[in-house]
Amino acid sequence: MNAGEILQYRYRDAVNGFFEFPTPNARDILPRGLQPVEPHHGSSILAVTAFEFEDSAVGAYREVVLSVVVAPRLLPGEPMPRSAMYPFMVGTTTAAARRHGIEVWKLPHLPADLEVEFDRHDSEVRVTAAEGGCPVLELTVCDPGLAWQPVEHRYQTWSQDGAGLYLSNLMMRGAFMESEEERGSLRLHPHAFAAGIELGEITDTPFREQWMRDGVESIHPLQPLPAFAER
Amino acid sequence: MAGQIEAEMEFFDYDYSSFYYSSSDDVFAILEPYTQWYDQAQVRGYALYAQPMSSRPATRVDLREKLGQGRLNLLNLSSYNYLGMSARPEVIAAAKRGLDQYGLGAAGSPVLSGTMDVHLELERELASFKDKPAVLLFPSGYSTNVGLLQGLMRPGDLILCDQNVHASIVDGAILSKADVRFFKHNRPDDLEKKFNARRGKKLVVIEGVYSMDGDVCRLPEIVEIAKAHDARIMIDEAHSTFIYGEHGRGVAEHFGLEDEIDIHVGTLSKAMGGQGGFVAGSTSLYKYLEGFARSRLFSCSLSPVVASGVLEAVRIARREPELRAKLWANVRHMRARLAEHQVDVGDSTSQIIPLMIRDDRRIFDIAHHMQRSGLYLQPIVYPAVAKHRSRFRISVSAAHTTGQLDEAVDILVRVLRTEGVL
Repeated sequence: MNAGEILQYRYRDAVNGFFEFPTPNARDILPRGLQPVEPHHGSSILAVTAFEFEDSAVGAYREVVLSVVVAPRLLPGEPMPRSAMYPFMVGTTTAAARRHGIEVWKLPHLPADLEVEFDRHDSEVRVTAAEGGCPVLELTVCDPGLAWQPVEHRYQTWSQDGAGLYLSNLMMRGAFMESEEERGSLRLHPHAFAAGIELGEITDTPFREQWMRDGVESIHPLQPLPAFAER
Repeated sequence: MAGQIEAEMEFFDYDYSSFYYSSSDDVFAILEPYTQWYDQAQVRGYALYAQPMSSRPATRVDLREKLGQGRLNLLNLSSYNYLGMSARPEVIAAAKRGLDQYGLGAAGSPVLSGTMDVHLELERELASFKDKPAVLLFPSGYSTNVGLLQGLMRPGDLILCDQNVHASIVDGAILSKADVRFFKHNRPDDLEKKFNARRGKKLVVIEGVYSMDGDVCRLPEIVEIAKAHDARIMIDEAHSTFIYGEHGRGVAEHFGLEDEIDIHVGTLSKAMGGQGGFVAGSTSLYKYLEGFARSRLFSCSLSPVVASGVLEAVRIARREPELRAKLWANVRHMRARLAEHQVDVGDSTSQIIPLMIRDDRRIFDIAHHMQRSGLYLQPIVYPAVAKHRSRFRISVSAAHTTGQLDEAVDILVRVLRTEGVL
């Protein structure tokens, strides 16, 4: 495996909640050149995502990710992404997954293994993450009874290193549910995982919840965009 | 790279917010991606928006299709003309007299040469109606909220808005450079949380009736919390003035809280069927906004033709309370008929009745079907409302006959059944 090929990750569950948090905080996190999407003036979007991967180039593992939702890169004639994310903190359950994420995708990782559990019920999934028994986060995403649709969605993800910014197209295939019924919840604990976030300023109810089951995440090779960071 | 990706562009995943930022230093770089989406959006349903009307916005309207050549005569449930004033013969006659007396436009800013006696007469009439010392007229509802908030609030102040307030309030708040925080829709507990022991100047902004859900502000609880935090209160009664309260003064009158509200905003484009907006309050507020509300200061005054027609409309609304009674009778009839068929109308209690579809993809097909069946009903989708909470927005008017409302219900129930919604 290397950064020049499309890599696939088969997952059982991928859940995501969109939470509002202050735009100045989002701008502190984002590199220059990326613009946060604001659902309301002054509020940006913290995306909290959890995956249970059943199979990948580095085996099975679980992962929690904090991202800022950013404006997508739109170019004439190119397919449009559903949305774009800047992941700024990833926590995984295995050292192999961590090394892989850093080396291949240049994503910042918590330098320790997390314990990530998925507690599934008919109408909700509750994800808990902890490090050595110390709580890191609890995320609940609910299914309000909407129809699940088979989809293949395109996203953009951004990452960076000393050389500049990188963009990757990411495809999510699987059964999909999305709602804005505000039934889920988030609790982020004071922990290095959430460093840089003003915890008291994040809404604890997601304005949008997404849940995908039994699908494949395909991540396309990174495209270096060094000039973008200079804007 | 792009060719390797198999998924097709999914129109429904995008909206105007996807095209806010471009990916280039060229100002025009965003135009082509937007145009690609726009052209597809028109074909997929957006052509239903802004179809040109060639008649009055009365209970039946003539429309021209945007994509085809067809001309349509439809039963209208989309216009704001809540009291049917836009086509009242007395209103039209008054506007014609205004045209004869003043000409087409004011030809000046209200602080220079654009104030005419009809503007002052309308302000006095509205102040008397609202039972307030003064009313300041603005050329539109949008410019009212923008000018009011920009004119009154300053950097370092705090504006706390319900998250469903109108864009004009959001834009005015941004322009003021005050700190802006949004509390969850109609949730006094979240308002309390958002105060967060903040010191300094604070303004709570709510609406009387919210335009997308048709629900009424929980004013008593919100007033109590705002007072406890020494905040001033502004209420925008765009959709409730002339409709709620014993005298039609709005939701604040309905709850007996008019004197607890510091700033009352209304529009003349909804129940009055005209154009313009106003701020009702103290004479000192009038004087201050006259000097500092730039959206008014640097706009041409409201057309004296419109002002003349609206003045007559206000007088009619005051002397004919039966119009309001007719509107509410129509609202009750419409609700009862919809309830017979278990149509989902959300949380509405007002003359704005959302017909919940909750399917962002299918709503445009259903809207086309409604139109082909003779009904003018606009689809409302994200980002105007939350994802998967798409709906049609029914505006009931006092001008509708019971027969027209029954005809409308028959059409929409038939379409919803055919489409599998009911």
